[in-house]
Amino acid sequence: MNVKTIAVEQRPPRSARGLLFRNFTLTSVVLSLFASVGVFATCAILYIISSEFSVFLQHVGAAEFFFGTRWEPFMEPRSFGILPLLAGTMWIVVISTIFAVPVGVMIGAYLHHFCGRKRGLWLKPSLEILAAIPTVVYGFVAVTLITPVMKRWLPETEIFNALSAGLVVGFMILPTISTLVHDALIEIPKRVREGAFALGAYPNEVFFGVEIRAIRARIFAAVILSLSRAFGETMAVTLAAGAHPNLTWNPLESIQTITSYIVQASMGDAPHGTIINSSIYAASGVLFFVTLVLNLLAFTWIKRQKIGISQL
Amino acid sequence: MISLRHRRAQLFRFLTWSAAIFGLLLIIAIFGYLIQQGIPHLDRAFFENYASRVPHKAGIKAALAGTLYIMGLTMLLAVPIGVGTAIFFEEYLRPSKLKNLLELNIANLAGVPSIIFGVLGLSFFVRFLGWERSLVSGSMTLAILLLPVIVIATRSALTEVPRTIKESAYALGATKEQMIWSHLIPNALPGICSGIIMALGRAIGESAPLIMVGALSFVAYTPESVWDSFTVLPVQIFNWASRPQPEFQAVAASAILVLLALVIAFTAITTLIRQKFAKKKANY
Amino acid sequence: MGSIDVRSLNVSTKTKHILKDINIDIAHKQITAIVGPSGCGKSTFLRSLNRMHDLNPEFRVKGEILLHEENILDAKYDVHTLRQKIGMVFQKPNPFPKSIFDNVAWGLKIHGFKDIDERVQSALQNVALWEEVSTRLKDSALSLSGGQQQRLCIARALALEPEILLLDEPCSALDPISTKHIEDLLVKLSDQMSVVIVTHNLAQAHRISHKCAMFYEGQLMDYGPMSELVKPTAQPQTFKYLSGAIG
Repeated sequence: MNVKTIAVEQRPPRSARGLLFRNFTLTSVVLSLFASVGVFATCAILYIISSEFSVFLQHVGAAEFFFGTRWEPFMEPRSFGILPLLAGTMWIVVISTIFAVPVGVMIGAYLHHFCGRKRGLWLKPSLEILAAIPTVVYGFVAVTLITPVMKRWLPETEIFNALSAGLVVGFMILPTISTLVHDALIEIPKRVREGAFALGAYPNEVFFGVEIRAIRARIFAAVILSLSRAFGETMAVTLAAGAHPNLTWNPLESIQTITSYIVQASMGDAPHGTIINSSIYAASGVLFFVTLVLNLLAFTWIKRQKIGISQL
Repeated sequence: MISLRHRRAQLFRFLTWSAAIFGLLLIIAIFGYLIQQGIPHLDRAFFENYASRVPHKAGIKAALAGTLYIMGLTMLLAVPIGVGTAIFFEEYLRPSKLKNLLELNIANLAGVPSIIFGVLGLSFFVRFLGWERSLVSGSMTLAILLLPVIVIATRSALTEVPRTIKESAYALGATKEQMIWSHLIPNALPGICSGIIMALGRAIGESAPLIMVGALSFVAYTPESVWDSFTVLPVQIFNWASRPQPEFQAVAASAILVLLALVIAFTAITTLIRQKFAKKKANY
Repeated sequence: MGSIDVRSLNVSTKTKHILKDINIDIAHKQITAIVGPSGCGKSTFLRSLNRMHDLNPEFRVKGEILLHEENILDAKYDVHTLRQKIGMVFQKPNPFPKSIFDNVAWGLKIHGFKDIDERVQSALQNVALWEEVSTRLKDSALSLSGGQQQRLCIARALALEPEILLLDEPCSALDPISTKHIEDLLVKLSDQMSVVIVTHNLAQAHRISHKCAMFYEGQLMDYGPMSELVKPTAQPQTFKYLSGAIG
């Protein structure tokens, strides 16, 4: 009996074996072209940003850009130090994360430990609404509702300030964190939680003593993802945080983020070749790079989580 | 006698409950405020007028038309490319370093801030290709932005199709292409649709990339061809909200209500499809 | 008068009446085996003893369970102290994602015990794990073998100095050698505390139990020394099950 022949006859047709390109059906070619769009997009982004960025750096030295404390692209004497924009962005990132992470974790714990099944069915999707609201709307709410309220308690709050914008970005991110935490919590095998309760622990002891430890990597990933989102947030901060590059320790002041500068500069329709046009790409470069690093970090942490949970 | 331990447990319970309530109150407060601000101006004229320097004459006709056109064009581009890419990954690519790289690429693009796509659109479509500030530039830019979302949603829909369905097609002698069209796609359709509608819901609210690609804010006509300039609802809102006069803020609020209605509609449809799909899966 | 007296225990969900009118006195400082075919309510019974059903709102528990004359099912009875006095070991080993030391120490900490180091050591010695892990207490508990993990889980329950130890098929996921270790351990422990063990393994029940409770379809069929239950004079279901006619 020739086993080899039988094996060959029983193999599925070549097209079904998913061979990489041996089989040039029209469909596979068309689909591969489609798939290359994603590659094109990344390459285009990388090329465009890096080429313009290097042009920019030739005009404005790297030292001035990366370490300068003054960002004044429009009026003389011009200066292109990124630090004020970076500081503004960091305010948004810090405020939104300080708000969203603790509250999000608490909500995740509530959904897991105290929320009844029926209530959870409508509560969790309802909170998702916060994430679905477009960012322009949040910017509007920040300027017209949050800031006036803040002014009543803290009169020195400026009309455009980092705090309202940061808070509102925090609202946006909140459901992402709570969902991530809750989804991670229910992935913990039931018997681990039961083991903790069987020792006579209260829910808070189980949560802080055992569960948080089990989902640690996922929480880190959630934090990093929220940092990344806040870093790249555009419309809400453009409307609410101001257009005033400001290296300050006071979140009640007006600031400008990297993203809102990009919007401002491109609305002015600076022609190609001008320094302002290049500065858009320089800012984009910083933005792209930082979010890239943060996202990659988050992915690694999520992978670590998968390994951790499977051991339990 | 209530111990410290018990008190701490009670505090935890209270804090977590308050956090959840706070989230709910937030939603209620935001919507309540927006409805209160926006309802007065929501009349027929609002939908039939174009933007205007005079607040009470301002309307969203151009913005609404622009939104609809952009959505349509973008979906026309993004859906085939997105679904096609997902099918290519799932069915045609063998597990390899290349595949990992491509998947990482898509996952990365999903996390890139939307304004970067605006920069891409500005440089490539508007300037390099010379398409200027037109519907095509805008929809192409948005299509690239939505691509990762659709790819990821489609892939998860594809992987949820039970293997037995694919194998039964092959067992009858079908080619891969036949299997995809007659078995894979129809069975993954609910998941794919919900992903598309979810992408739509997100796209409707996108303003940053469109601003960069030139969704002008003072457009007093509805677009006639794909090369016309345009504006969309969120950009119009941005423009009105940036003006200092409170009357314009009120108009912005009304436009926001329309935008929210659209977003909520799409989100609701997505959830409904997901629920129905989950029920159907239980039959396997 | 035993350690635990169960009176008219009924446990049900909306769709199923799982335990029907159970009356039993669990013997003091002895090993009681709970046996019966699958689905007869053995685990449900065991978990009632330390009020694990509190964690599941779908379960309705009625009746009385008396520990030192007090009804532990009473809402006013502190369930957290109860679970310190009545420890539980689960079917599949479930160590916490912490170090070996912290697994045992955590329960001690939350209950406010002092001398944590000594108590951890003595608990680990009690389960014959100390020599194997004393040099690597900071290692993750997940790095231990299945049998070691299960002994660790017993140790962390023992550290709280319980009066009663409940075990739900503790050896079903383990190899025969680890099973032997644990059985020897339980026999040793029964000098200090009462042990209630749910088991599917009749040979095990024969080997180690002083008394055996036979459950069938939610009811307590028979209760007595194993030697009595295998006689034809016992209840028909008991005899059938124990001789292998039904599973």
